[in-house]
Amino acid sequence: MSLRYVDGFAQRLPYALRVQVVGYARSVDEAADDIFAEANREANEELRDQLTMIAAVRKLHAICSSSFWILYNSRNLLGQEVSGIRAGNTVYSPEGGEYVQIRTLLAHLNETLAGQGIHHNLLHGSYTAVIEELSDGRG
Amino acid sequence: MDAAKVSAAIAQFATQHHTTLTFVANRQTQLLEIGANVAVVQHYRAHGYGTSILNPKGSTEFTVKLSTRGHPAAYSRVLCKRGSVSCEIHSNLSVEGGRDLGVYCLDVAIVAADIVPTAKGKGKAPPVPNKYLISFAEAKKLVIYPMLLAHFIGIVHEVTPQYMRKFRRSVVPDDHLHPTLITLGHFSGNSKTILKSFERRRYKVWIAESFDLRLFYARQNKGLSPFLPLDELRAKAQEPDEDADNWPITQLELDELDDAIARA
Repeated sequence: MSLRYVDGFAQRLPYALRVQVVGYARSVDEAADDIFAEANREANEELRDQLTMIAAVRKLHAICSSSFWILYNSRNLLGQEVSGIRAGNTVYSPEGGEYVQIRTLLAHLNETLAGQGIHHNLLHGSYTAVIEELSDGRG
Repeated sequence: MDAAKVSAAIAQFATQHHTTLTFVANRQTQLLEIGANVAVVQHYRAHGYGTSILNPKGSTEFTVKLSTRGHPAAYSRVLCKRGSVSCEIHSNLSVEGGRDLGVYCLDVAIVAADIVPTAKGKGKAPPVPNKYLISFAEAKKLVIYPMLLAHFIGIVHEVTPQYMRKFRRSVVPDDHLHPTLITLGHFSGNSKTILKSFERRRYKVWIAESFDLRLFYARQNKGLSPFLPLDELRAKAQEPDEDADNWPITQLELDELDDAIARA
């Protein structure tokens, strides 16, 4: 197993996030043989490494996006009569620093991924479809 | 795609945003509990329930209870109503066990409407009698491993034993949420084998792994409960929902979304 592309960025993440990102990439790597078989593509080391990298990117994106969307969806769901969400001493509101910070984080991650050609299907399609795209040189 | 370049670009992103990523890492549990509450609300909405937010008296903030301490009247609740069926969603609510008078604090509790006091009395609020507890969800920032599943099933046995017996061969009425374990992690080791065994034993429980991915998929189609099987949720999220927000790529699009909300 090689996580060379994952290790390249995971070591820059805070420990708590690194554990989650690498752990998820490993779980996809363990299932890689089945994914290749389902996609009817022959496995090779490079494709496998790219697959685990996409898995790690998905996890990082999911962490950042879920943090933002939890707040955004909560606000939408709760309606305009709710001025913010209080959790302990923190109040999350659209004008608040935490909300803006997380929103900016997600926006920059989306821009980084888009700039590198990581498009919607690679982030959200099935892993079988990812392997098909990568092996056909479309990804 | 040049994988080495992608890796380098994300490494640069991680360095540039290290402070915010650390903030996110430190607040994941807090955000997870907020998300768990919202996801349960979304489950009921997806099943045709109307929902109303009831905040503490005099407050316009949706106040989430994050610990065992505090009177429930000081925190928000959500009333769900569909025809003659109603229930309330509470965060970190103390309830009595289903087999004895042991008291358990549930991350998200679904209870009968109008049972939890809305004003503080003298002393601590009493735990909700078990007969009023409908279901619950527990949220953990963990990978799903066998002992976590055993721990969760233990809680179900103690607080909602009907999901092990009474509903064993029938459908849970009124589309109520099954007792649910929400985690940010994926299945590890042989935990999927255990889950299959739960299904064979007809336990009416849900294990919502990779909750961050679930929320992302569910928000793309507002008619979806985040507690569908993950593959089904991913597939259904691809079906366009005219009411859903588009996937924002840039800061500009995010700004436009916020402006649209403000105008509404």
